[in-house]
Amino acid sequence: MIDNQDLTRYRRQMMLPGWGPEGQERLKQARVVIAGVGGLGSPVGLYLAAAGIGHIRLLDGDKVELSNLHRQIVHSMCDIDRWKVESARDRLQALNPEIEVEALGSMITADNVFDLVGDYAIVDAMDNLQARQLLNRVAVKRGLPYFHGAVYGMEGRITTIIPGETPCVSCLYTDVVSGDLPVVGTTPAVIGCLQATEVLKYFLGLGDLLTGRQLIYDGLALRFHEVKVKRDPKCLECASKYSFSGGPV
Amino acid sequence: MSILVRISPLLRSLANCQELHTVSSGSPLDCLLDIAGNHPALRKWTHDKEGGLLRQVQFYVNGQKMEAEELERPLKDGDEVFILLGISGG
Repeated sequence: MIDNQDLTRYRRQMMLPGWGPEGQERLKQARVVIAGVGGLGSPVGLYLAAAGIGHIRLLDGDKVELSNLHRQIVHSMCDIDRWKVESARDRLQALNPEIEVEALGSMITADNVFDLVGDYAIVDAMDNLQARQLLNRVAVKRGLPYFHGAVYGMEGRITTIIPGETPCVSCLYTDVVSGDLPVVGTTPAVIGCLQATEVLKYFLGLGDLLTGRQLIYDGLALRFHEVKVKRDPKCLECASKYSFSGGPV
Repeated sequence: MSILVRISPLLRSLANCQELHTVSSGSPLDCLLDIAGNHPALRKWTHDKEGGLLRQVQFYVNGQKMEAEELERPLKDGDEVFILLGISGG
């Protein structure tokens, strides 16, 4: 149950119609895994912790480097060479000691991904397609909501995946561009904040989720484009699991 | 006939080309080849050395995703094509 301190801490957000103490209690009970504690995972973690998501699990197998700090704002100079999950956990707990933050410093593999995710809602803040596809497999098999974001340069993408209702990651991507590509810190900041917004809306039942749609952020022209995305009837991950009317096969 | 083609921010950064292009006819694939004719750097990110389209290239027409088998379908006057690369940075 939320207490007096919660009522003070979260008062301004609970004023939003449809939120209130009941919504705040739902956030307190919510379980979210943030896969990747880098450019996207930094704002996602900070805003979900600040909003009072009660159980946050951080996944990342890397250590903090100087070259991360222009975009991975959850970490600081004093965190260089620390595990990212430990640095981020300390920052989130300092921001909100009332929530539970777990730090799992493992690389995501096919052997461990089901255990790492459990039954938590998944925020995809990864930096490679292979790990995204592993997380997607868990989401599809277990019917977990999946909040996808991706960035490079001054471009970002976001969509919300509800297995059985929307395309999955494997429906969306056949391949991705690779190489040492640019990224500007404000791009994952924009996309990560939108991912966190979707997570909060999902648990609160507020508004319309970004399902069946993908938002494309163009930081150069400062425009957002919305495109429709659809399930791939030949998708190796979701086509055999869910019928095209929405339910399990 | 006029077709508006939009190039994604990442792709136009990599190929140093502008956002909007007007093409007079053709399919989504023809639009890309038309623009790449004037911006050779584009091809490095969209085609392999043998001239095949890379799987990382994505096409949307009027906001709808095009599948591989739809890329040679003729476009209509007023259609809008959006060409992007699949991205995975975080």
